[in-house]
Amino acid sequence: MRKALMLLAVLVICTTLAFSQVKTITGRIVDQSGAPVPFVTIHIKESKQTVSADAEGGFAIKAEPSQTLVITGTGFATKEIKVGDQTSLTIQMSKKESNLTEVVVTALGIKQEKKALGYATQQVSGASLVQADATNTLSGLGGKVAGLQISSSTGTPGAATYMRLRGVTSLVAGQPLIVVDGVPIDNSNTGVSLGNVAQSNRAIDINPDDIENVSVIKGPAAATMYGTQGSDGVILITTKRGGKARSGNRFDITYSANFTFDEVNKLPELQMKYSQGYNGLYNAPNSSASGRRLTWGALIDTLKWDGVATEWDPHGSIVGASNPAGKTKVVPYNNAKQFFRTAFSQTHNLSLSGGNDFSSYRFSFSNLASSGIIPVSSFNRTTFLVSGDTRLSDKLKTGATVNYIVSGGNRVQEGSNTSGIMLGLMRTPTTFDNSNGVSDPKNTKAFLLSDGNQRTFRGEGSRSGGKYDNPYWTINRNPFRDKVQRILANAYLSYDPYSWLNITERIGVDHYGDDRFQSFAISSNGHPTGQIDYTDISNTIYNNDLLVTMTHNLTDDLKGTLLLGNNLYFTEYNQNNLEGDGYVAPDYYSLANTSSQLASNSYQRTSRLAFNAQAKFDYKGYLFVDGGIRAEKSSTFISYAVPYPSFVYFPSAGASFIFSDAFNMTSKAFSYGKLRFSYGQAGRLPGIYGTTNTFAGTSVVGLADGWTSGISFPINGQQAVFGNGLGNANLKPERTSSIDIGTELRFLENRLGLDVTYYVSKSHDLLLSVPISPSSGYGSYYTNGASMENHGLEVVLNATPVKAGDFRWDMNINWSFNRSKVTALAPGVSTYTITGFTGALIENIVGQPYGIVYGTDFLRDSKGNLIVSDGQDGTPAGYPIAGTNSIRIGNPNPKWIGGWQNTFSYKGFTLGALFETKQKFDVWNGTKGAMTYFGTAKVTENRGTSYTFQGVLGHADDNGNAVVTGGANKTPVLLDQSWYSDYIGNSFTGPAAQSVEDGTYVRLREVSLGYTFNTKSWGTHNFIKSLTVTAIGRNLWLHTKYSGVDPDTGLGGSAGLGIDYFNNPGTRTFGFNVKVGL
Amino acid sequence: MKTLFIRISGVLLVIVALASSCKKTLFPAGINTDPNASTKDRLLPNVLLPGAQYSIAYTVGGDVSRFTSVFIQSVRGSARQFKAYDQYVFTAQDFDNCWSNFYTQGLNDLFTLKELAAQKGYSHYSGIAKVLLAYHIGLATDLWGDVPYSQAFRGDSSVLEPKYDKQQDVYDSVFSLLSSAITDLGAAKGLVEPGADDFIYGGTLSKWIKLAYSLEARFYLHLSKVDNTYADKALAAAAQGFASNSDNAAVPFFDDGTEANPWYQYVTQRGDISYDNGYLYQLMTAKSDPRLNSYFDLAGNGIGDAIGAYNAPVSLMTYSELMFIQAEAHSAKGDGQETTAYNTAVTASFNALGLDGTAYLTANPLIGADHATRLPTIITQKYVALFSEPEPFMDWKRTGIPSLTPTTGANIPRRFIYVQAELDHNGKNVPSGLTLYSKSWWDQ
Repeated sequence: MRKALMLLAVLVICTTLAFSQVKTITGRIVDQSGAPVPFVTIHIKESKQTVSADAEGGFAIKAEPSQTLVITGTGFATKEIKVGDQTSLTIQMSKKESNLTEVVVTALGIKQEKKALGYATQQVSGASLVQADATNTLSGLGGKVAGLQISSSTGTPGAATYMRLRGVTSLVAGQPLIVVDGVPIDNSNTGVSLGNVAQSNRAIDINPDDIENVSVIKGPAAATMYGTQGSDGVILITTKRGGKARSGNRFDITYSANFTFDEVNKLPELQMKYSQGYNGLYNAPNSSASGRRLTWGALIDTLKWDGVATEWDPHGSIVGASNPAGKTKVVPYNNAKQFFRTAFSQTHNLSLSGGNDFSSYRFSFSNLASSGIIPVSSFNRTTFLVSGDTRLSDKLKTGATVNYIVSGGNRVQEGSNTSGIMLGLMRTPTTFDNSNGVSDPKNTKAFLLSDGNQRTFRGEGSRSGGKYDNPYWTINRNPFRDKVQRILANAYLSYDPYSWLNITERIGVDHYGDDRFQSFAISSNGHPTGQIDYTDISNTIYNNDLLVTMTHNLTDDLKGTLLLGNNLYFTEYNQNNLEGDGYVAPDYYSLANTSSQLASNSYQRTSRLAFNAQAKFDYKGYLFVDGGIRAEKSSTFISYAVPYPSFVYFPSAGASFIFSDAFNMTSKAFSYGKLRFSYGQAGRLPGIYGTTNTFAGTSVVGLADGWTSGISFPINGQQAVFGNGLGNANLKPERTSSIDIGTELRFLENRLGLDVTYYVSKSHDLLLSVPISPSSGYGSYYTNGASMENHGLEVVLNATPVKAGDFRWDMNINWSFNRSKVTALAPGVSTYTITGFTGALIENIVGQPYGIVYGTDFLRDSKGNLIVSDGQDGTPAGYPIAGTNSIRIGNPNPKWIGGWQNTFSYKGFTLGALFETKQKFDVWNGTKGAMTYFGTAKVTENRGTSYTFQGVLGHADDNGNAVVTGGANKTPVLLDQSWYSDYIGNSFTGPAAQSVEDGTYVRLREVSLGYTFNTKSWGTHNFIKSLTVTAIGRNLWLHTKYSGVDPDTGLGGSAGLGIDYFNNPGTRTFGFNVKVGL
Repeated sequence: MKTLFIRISGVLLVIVALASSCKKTLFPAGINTDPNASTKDRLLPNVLLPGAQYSIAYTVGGDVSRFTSVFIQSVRGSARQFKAYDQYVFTAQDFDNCWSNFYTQGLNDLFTLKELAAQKGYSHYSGIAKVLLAYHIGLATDLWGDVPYSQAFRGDSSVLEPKYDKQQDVYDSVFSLLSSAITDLGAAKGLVEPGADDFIYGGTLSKWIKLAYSLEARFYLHLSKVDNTYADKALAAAAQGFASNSDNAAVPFFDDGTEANPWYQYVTQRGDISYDNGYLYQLMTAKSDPRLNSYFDLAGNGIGDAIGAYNAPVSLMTYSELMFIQAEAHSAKGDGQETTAYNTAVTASFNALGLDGTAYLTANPLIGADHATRLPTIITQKYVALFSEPEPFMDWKRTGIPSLTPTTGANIPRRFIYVQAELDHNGKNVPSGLTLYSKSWWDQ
């Protein structure tokens, strides 16, 4: 019986084989209009054989007549066609207007259909990023993703861009994790300071032109697969891969060039009516009068130059108009206007890509050379990228990417820094010309006197003490240079031993060296004897992911997928600082030329092991349910009590229901409706070394008494240490749990799409240093304890209002709001400082939103009315009184943010415009507050005018509390030097609240007009396959009431937004881009 | 279903086996310990001792000196916060810096040094740590009353809320520390010996032994109201104490920058203190005291070079004080040796300033038939000799000399109040119901 069956089997097989007519089928894929559809996938339903179409939609595949070809492509409905007798096929695919079968990259690089996701994501194309900003990828996301707040630190080249996705989930705001091709990369912003240069965030090293698209994963519900790195959300970047070349090419070459000009877009207003000096008298820079620090001098109209040129002014010395020596009327200088220049930048991108059915490759090279509106400032970046993917066999696919980047620039001092550009510029009186009449910013005549001292409005260095560096001095004599060499590399192997199983192994490394050099020349104010600093940073991340995916049809209608993953993640960071003080010889910037040296080192190493498990169920393609858990072990829990860490767990769950398909509701008016829900937990690890108790020297701990500056070691060569903070052997991770509910709706044959998401998140066990009783021997203790809450709404609207023939209008609106609240800090702790200045801090306070501005205000009554002094407490009558307690004076968190993108296309023309707004957020304009004290602010131009303060009469009692003694104030008083400068009418010496301003803005963030040439009509010998020319503008229009620089500015780093204290100004950009495909 | 289960389990086993084995490679020892930080096990005595000495000196020569001098009116507060202090307006926060410097710097370093020395057998360091610990905690209890000691400095063992020991118990600890110190200082050499890191005596052990005895004498004297054998005990200890001005315990300062004397820093950076309306200034003027110009410099910074030059040392205990202790003890015993002691005390004070006190001594002799008549002279001269030190405040508490009029109200402060940081974080242990004017155990 067995033998017979065997014979029968052989016969059947032979017959089948004899009848098999495997033939080569060639074909072309076209869309409804007959245009070719490139790069779609054609595979045989009955086997694993797959090919992809080329750039012309052409393909060739070996198949039998009985087999079925399945053609799939992004944006198209899947098409199945039986092979039959034909050998040549033209297959038409129907385009879907919107991406119902859109595939997006999700956590761990796993591609999923967007419809299956229970959480909110949003995509931004690489092309959109390049258009927005050729330098910093993150800036290109502004206004394009609901819930994502993009902030600029300042407008100098290479300056960092900060992100906040759905609010803050920790006491010191983190940044969303950035993942490139499945490998987390470093995005630190090392060296941020209230008074140094604007550092970059390391994601600036990525060339936007290498990016295919960006997928933003919002909220912990979605980022649970990244556990302790995911609580601020994840930005997934996919780089361009190769593919089949355009027809007629073995490989494609694409070249694009960007040429742009930058200008200052906004500056604080300066008064130009009154001169240097004090009490209405002119004081010359080289006089000994202490009033030369200020600009409270004489009316310029009453002054004349004597025509005898000096080093202080080529027009001569200033005398009174009635003085017979006076020759010409004094004309005020606009130092700010003449200092900032129009800067030119260019970017060149060259890429080469190609491939066939089995492999694809891409090489790209780019060079960015940008200069800044501040002379000497620049940022350059050169990138090389090589990527390849190849199918080794039906079951095995492999690929690798190597990206080598060199970036860096010349940076300029900013902020609370007497060598800072804006600080010096804004305090310079309008009767003093920082440039000394020369136009070349490198000409030493501007900043150097013949005796070798620095030329500033404060007079010679040796005499004045406490002066500010002339901005021309700073750019020439206080250089800062950095150079980063970075390599991002990854390789993967994807193995499908069976049709239901895939094993992917991906290894990646991110390594960079960042070398920084800074020097202050002798006679620089902050370092009068000179100083040199070298900072050498080396940072490495190793990441290894092993993913196993198993799919199984549990029933005819129910498909299940099980994902198991293992992750190994190592980091190593080393920083060496070398400082030399006291140059011996001038202009010789080397450690060898210093009289004393200081060196220090900082070293950190972490490792982390994690496991992921996720189960997903797909019921009939319209109901999706998933659940997962992540288990992590991290080295930052290790202590003397815990030598090996234990696992911490982060769960997640989600569901997605496409009710339009389930209930067959689709019609012409309504084509798609989805409800989604997701829950997840993500977290944050304790900081490194948080578990040990350390002793530190006086440079860290200090030895003073609260009245005096105290003493510091070494003394006579002896060192000293004191207990620093108590570590905690029993730390837990910070946790954020959030729930995300949303809906996606498409109407009118996908001409209108709406995506709404509501989320609530609660963060607890937040880490902070808690003060403890000093009799324990220590002052503070690092422990879990604080908590915060966030909730918000995100709305995305996509519409195509007009589609008529060759003309099309697409519109996209992103709108979101987020509300945060600090719900607890620790017992006995009611405030937690993030950054800031005494009197204007960015603080977390229980019951308040994250990171409010905390400072002093004028004295007010219980209803908030201003108390106007009645003179009874000794303060000047008719004027406000300074309050003594710090209170909340501003909220830097916007009430809502939005972006409105419009794109018009007609034949080859495309016109695009993106408006972006940030509404109702406060910025502490410390620049204006200080300028008011100095007399340079425009608001002081009204000096001598009369004003009645709106408030109630009263005074302060002995404890500083308000006592109301009368009704509304009706007494006018003078607004003059004695109020603005000598008393408290400025936030430099007076209450900080008077400088808090609303930064609300609406801006035209991007505008572009491009034309794509019809190169097909240029003849068959034409080698230019595509040519597009685009005129671009960024930030061309800004509408805001903020009186300082561009309100999109922040000195305090990503965690401390809300401070403008002599921040460098923002820019507007215009230029054009040329893109050629060969 | 079975096959599915088998498939899944198989793959799971492979993954788990692969990835979870290498514990030691993934988490090597020391990965979460900062190689650059000083942890307790990496400390050497020669970084703990300088820190402790300077923390003591800067605080004792700073806040302690200023506040106690205002209490006993050897200086007056003239502006801003010091004007309020002059009128005895204090809040718990005003003493926070002082308490925090005492406990988290000076005392914690000394306690850590004592333990380290005990562990490693550095007897001489152990002795020095005990002497300074006794000095420091003794001063703390003299200023505040009941203070934490037996449970203090154990934050790294999670004792975050130490209980407050009774002043009497703290004094017992002080005496036990001092006698144990004397033993340690006489023991054999250890592997590490104090030297340049000892800014008080440069490692000279004989002087440390004398300081220990001198401190014993001081603390016995403090018990004049609660222990009627105090005079004998004080004299017995004093007999082995300082022998001359060269034994004076003081911490030096060096430049006018980050190594400057605390009084110098205060008068140049702050001010707010006046001198000529103080009791001391007026007393010295009335007696034409040659030391006046060393103490006060009204034309310059206000405070004179002896106390407030940038390199003026901060005194912990002087030979002059020891002689005054002996004078008072002899006088209390009525054994007739008080005059010699008194004369030596006053002369020593002058000699320390490079002045000649003969004429002054002739004009201000110690006369009196009984202790009650002699005591005012002794204590008043001690008040002058020990200007800027906290000790005259202790004398005033014990004796009421000099007789001062409160600047406001009916009373002069007798203690520092418990600090805000303790009230906030250790509130359950802080004794309640005490004020600036409350009397503590030996202050009767």
